[in-house]
Formats: sequence, C-alpha cells, structure tokens
Amino acid sequence: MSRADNALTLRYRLSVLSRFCAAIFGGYFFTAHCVALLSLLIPTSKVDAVLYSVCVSILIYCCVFIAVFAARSQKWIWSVLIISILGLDLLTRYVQGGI
Amino acid sequence: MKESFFRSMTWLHTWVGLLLCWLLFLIFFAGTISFFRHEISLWNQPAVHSIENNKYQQQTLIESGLGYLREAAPDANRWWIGLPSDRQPELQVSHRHSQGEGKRDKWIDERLDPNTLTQIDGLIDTKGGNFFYRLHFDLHYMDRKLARWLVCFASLFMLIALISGIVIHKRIFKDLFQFRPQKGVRAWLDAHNLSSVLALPFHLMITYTGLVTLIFMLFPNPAETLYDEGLKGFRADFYPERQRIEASPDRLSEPAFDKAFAHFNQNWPEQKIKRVIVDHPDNAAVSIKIYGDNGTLIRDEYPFWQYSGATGDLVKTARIDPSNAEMLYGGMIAVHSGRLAHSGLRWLYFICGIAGCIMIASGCIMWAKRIRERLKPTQSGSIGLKLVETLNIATIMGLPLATAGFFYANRLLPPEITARADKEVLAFFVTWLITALASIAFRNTRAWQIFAYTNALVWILLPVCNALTTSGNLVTYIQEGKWILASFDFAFLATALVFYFQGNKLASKATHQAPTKRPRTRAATEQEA
Repeated sequence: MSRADNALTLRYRLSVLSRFCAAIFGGYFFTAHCVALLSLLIPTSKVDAVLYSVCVSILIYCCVFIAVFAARSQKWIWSVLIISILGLDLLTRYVQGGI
Repeated sequence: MKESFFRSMTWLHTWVGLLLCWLLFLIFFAGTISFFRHEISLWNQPAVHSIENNKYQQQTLIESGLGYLREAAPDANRWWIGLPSDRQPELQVSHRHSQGEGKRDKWIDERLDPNTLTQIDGLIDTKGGNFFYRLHFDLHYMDRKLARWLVCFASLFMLIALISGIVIHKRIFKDLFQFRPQKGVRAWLDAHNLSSVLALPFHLMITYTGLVTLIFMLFPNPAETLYDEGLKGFRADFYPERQRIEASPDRLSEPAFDKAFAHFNQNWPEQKIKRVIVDHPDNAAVSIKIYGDNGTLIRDEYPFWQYSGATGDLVKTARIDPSNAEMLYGGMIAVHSGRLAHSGLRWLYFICGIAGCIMIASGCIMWAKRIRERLKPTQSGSIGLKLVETLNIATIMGLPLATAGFFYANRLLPPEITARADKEVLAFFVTWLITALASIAFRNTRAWQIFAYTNALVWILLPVCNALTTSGNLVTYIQEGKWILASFDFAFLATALVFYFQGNKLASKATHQAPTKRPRTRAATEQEA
C-alpha cells in the first residue's frame, strides 16, 4: 500500500479507486442507515432522538472510513458494507412496523 | 497486521491530505478570519467608528427603535431591531417589504447611533466580515448547495487526515519538543507536527463541529425516519420561533407593545435582549418576538418569547429550558462559531485557527518538497508536481494578499459607486487571480520570496492607508481607548513583520545553498491576520 513500493499499475489504481468509493459512498450509506435506525431506538422525544443521532453520525462515518482503508481484502469490505446496509435497512423497517 | 495498519494510515494521510488541502486552506483561512466577523464589519464601516459606547438602557433603545420604525416603515411586513453590543456599537433597525406575488420580500437595513438615536451619516455599502463568513462555507461564485457539499466533503477528509495523522504519529510527545529548523524537509515535518499537535484538540473540535453545523444537509435520515414530513416536520418541532405567521386583513393601529414589554420585564428582569422582531406591525396578526442574549453560555439558539401584539399576552416561549440533546447539538455549534467567546478566548480561537492554516500549508509544501528532492537536478518534475507547487504558492501566498486587497478596496473605492460591496469582493478575487497566474510562471524559492516581500509591503501600508482615508489612526485609537480598531493596525503590522522575516529567510536560503539542490521555501507558515 505505501507509495514507496507501489508500481503504478492499472490494477493498483483501480483498487485505490475502489477503496475510496467504498469509504466515501459505502461509508455514507452505512452511516445514513445507522443513524436512521438509531433515531428510532433512542428513547427520548422525537426532536432529541434526531439531535442525538445526527451528533454521532460523523463519528460513525469516520470509523467506517478508517476501517475501509485498514482492511486487507477488498471483497471483504464490499460484502460487509452491502450486507450491513441491507441489514440496517431491514431492521429499520422492522422497528417502524413496516414488516 | 499492526505494521500494515500503520502503513495504510500513512498512505491515507498523505493522499487524503493532499487531494483537498487547498480548499481546506481556504476554509480554514476564511473561518479563522471570521472569528472577527463583527470586528471586520466595524472596521469596514468608518462612519460607525466614532460611535461611543451606548448609555441607554435596553428598554429605551427598543422603544426608540420601534418609534423610528413606526415613522420610517409603517407598511413593512416585518421590523427587526438589533441591539448594540461590545462588538457592534450601532442600533440596527431593518424593515422588510412585500414585493407582490411571486417576488422575494425586500429588506431595507438602517443603523442608528444608540446615543443620539438618529441615523448614522456616511455609511458605505460593504459586506464587511460577512464576506469571509460566507466564503467559509458557501465559497463564492458558486451554487450554494454544491459549495456546502464540497465544504462538507473537504471537512470529512480533514477529519480523516487528522485521525490517520494521529495514528501514524507514534512519538507524539517527542515530536512536540522537536524543531529542527535548518534541516530541509525535516524542518517542514517538524513545523507540520508542531502546529498539528499543539492545537490538536482545537483541530478535532472545529472540524467535527463544523460538520455538525451542516449535518441536516449531510444526514437528513433521522428526521426523515421519525417525521412524516421529514426535515420540514422536524424544523417545525425544533424551531417554533421560525414558524410563519400569516397576516390578518384587519387593521390595527395601536399594538399593545407596552403591555407585552411590561410583562416581559416583570417576569425576566435580568434577561439581556439580543434582538426584537415584530411581524405584521400594521394588522391584527401583529406578533412581538423577543430573542434573549446567550452571552458566554455554550448555546447556539437564543431563548425566545413571543407576544401577541393585539392583546399583549405571552403566546409561546422556546429554549428557556433546553433539553440535554439540545444542549449537545447547540453546544457543538456554539463552540464552532465562537460567538460565546470574550476577547481573550477569541484571540485563542484565532491563534488556533492560524495553527490550522500552518498545519495545512506545511503539509502541502512538504509533499512537493519530498518529490522534488527525489528528482535528479536535471529532471524538471511531472505535471502533477508542478500543479501542486503552483497551487501551493497561489493559495498560501495569494489568500493573504487577496485579503489585503479586500481591505484596500474598502478604503479606496469611492462611496457613491453602484454595487460597491460586490466590487470589494471583486478586488479580493482579482488579487487572488493575479497571484495565481503569476505562480504558474514562477514557482521557485525566488518567487516565494518576492510574494513574501509583496505581502509585507501591502500589509505594512494598510495602517497608513487607513490613517489617510479615515479620521482615525493608531495613535488616536490608543488615546481614545478604541482597542478593537487599534488591534487591526497591530495585526496588520504583525502580519507585515512575519512576511518580512520570512522573505529574509528565503533570501538567505536562495543565496547560501547550491542551486542544483533546488531548495524550497521556509515559506508561508506563520502569517495572515
């Protein structure tokens, strides 16, 4: 990964692009679904639940971002992201009583 | 695994940092200046300089404001009275008028001397500190929404760069006390570390809370999940004071202002008032909205009271007793904007902001220097390297120069020209553009040095320009105890001094070292006011 030993091959560049996409977009949608669910679970008034969840959203986003770049395998990153986003979405619908 | 994590974070820090560092420098630079937003508005408006501290009680000021508006704008749909503070000496009275179907309402802003309660003569059209405040998150010449997304994106990268920077920084305390000024890239690394680590809590705080200020644009999801109408529903719940009040067809000639203020002053006698807004002053829907002053409390939104103007009764209040979540969210925004800061803390904010600028500047310069050192003397460098070097000099040297250009334009443009405020802004961007164009052609140490001397020259002449174009100067400011205005002159001189020493340093570098090594600068680290 370090710049010293990289050969700037197409493959390497694509893998960097893929990681940035996973971190920026994957991280964004993961966080968005995560805070949506969180706001449903916080047992306070609606206003307060919204405020608490948006305040921690950036923290979650950063953790996911860092994790994406720290992880070894690209396949692992993408599968975990996609599965967890779907899982969070299902859970949110379940809590809302949509399922 | 541990080593690999360390390496991936080093890589992340370098690239995330480099990609958006110039935008981040602009955001940090404009934000740092914005801590003195009201002071700059004051400096930019010489007609307000002679106003003495207000001697009347707030109730007298409110009544005179209302009296003035009743005469000046009886048919307005909103009156707005902003009370004087330590940072803004004048009494602001504004009124808003309907422009017919489909058109936006028009605001007319007026200012009164709080001691004579008459209009201030000789006001000029200027954006003042609000220009830098808006530049900080709306950028300029750009769609507002797009600009805010860009700023959010850059701030996120900043936060990632900070976190990965902490990870790769194994010896945080050792590096803190290490500064090796004569050792080329090492010196840059030390400057980068020093400015980052010393003000690290500030950097983390300001970046995180900065993102929180735009959080409902970034993550509207919780509000959309909990409210049927989404953000709109949440806003109606969270900002009861912003709800629109519809006009009534019935006229009302004598609103019950006295009764309302008598009730307010009896129940909240100690409450300092920030502003008073009257909606629909000429009809039966008239409402009086009182916003309290938070002073140095860590709160963002103001406590709020709304009275009916028809009956004089209290209709609703908000934020008098905020919940924990409101304190958390409002507190984050309050520490970001620094409105709570008294002058000492404000300077600390400013110094930390400058440390942030140094951190970003030294980071970008270090990147370019490292690549340049790896090249053989005969190699000319890739397009990427040239681009980075150009952007470095254009941003780091250009922004202080452009800021000086803005201040000169404020003093030198004739007061009667049309769209004067926009021309001041134009002066800022034209100066910046010229610097950028020049830096495409000249990027070596000599160019940094010339820009440093140019900066020193324009900043040292700024107090002179001020003395020649206004009735005050540094000596009279000190004699009359006008410390805000005196600080401007001191800050201008200090900036000039820093650039002068930097230019000297660069001059000695350019002559002492062998030209083949192509030494780059000690530039631009400690500057700007």
